[in-house]
Amino acid sequence: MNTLESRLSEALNARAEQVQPADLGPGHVPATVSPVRRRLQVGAAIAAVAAVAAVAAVAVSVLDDDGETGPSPAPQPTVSDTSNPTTDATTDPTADPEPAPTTNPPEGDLGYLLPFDTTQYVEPGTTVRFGDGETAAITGGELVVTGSGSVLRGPLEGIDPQDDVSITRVSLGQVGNGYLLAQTPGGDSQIQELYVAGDGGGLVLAQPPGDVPFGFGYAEGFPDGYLTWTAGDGSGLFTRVQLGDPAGNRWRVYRWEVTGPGEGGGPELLARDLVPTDLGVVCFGSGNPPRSVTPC
Amino acid sequence: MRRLTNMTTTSDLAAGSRRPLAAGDLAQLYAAHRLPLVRLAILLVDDRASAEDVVQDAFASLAGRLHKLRDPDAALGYLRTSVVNGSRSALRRRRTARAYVPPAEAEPPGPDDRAVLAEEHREVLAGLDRLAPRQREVLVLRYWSGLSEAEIAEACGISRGAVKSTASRALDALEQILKGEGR
Repeated sequence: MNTLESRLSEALNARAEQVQPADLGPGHVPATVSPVRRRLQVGAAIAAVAAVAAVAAVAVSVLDDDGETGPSPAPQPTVSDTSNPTTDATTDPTADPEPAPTTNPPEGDLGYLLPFDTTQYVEPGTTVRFGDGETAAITGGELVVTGSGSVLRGPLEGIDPQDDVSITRVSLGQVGNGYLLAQTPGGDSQIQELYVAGDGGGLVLAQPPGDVPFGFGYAEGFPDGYLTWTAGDGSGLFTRVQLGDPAGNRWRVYRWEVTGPGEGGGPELLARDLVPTDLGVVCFGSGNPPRSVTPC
Repeated sequence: MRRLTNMTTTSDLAAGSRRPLAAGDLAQLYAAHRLPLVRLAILLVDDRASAEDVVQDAFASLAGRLHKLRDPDAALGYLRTSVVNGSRSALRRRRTARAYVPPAEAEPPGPDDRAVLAEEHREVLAGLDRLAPRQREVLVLRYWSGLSEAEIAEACGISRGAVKSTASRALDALEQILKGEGR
């Protein structure tokens, strides 16, 4: 351990030691919830929702009869649904880390998940040019994006500026474009980070939530691996998490969006957080990258 | 350096039985790990009240899924991850709230009891405050909790390679900050 590391360790230790057992407030062990009780709670919740839905259906029916208004389409999950800063649902540590169940398989054409982008890795300093003339490059330890008369810069956090990197652009709605950087530090590991425009006019790293993995790898709770990719046309950013036997090629797929200015209709959010939407379980065809995807 | 990892008490829980963890196990985890987890949280959020809240939330979350766990070490890993995520959320909420108060009231929350620390330690901690949240988390988990790269990767939800590069860059940045202040 060098001098700086020793100084850091000692400072952290000194700060932590300031908290002694007697300083803590009266804690209490949280109550546990047994599986049976949990099921009953879920059942009661479902019943309550059904009752509310029934009442709502009656109300809508009455409105229709009066010719005042028709039923609104069911709300779809959006960034604003999950990005309310007062609830902070995406990173709430009390949220159940298991993905919420969704309608499976997903309905409709799944073609938007393909093709997987196959952007090549380039050496540091190489300028990557996108279709509309915008460019991106790793320069001086920063990601630098130039286009439409503006230059955005942001410091890299996990990406090594001295190593080869791939830069993929993805459209993220109100937040604008995101830039997915990938790097392979060794073996089969891979770093993937998404940078977006922050409030200060620079590029910042979008923070993933704790309950859905972002990037590539293996993690507790996701022992079968996960992978993040952009659709080939840059219209979507997705992560797939393998389910069960790898031979089954079944994956739970999430679409990513990013919180940002104006989201939620309230005060502008300052944070740039990745927000997953669970799209359901799909089966990819074999091959890497896969060339087909079907509901399963 | 504290080793906030698979402590002896966790290995005593549900020893060898592989039974689901129960309320008694949670009580033991709480008794054994509440203080070190609060200390971890305070290194990430700077104030004791927030740190205690973050840790209490982590235990509450664990309580809700305790029956799914059979490995006490996994429970501790879950708690650690919850504390890291909870601390980041607390910082984010604080930052958001700060943006909507009059400038005169927008001072950062005072790390009240830092004042009694040695000057040397205060300088290092002030430098740590200026790092990106992820960099700070990695350094705290590495140099205070004493976790391995794999454990830090799990706690932060990043790859081991990212842990290594983040730590390296964070140390470089910290060194530059301290040099910039003439230390």
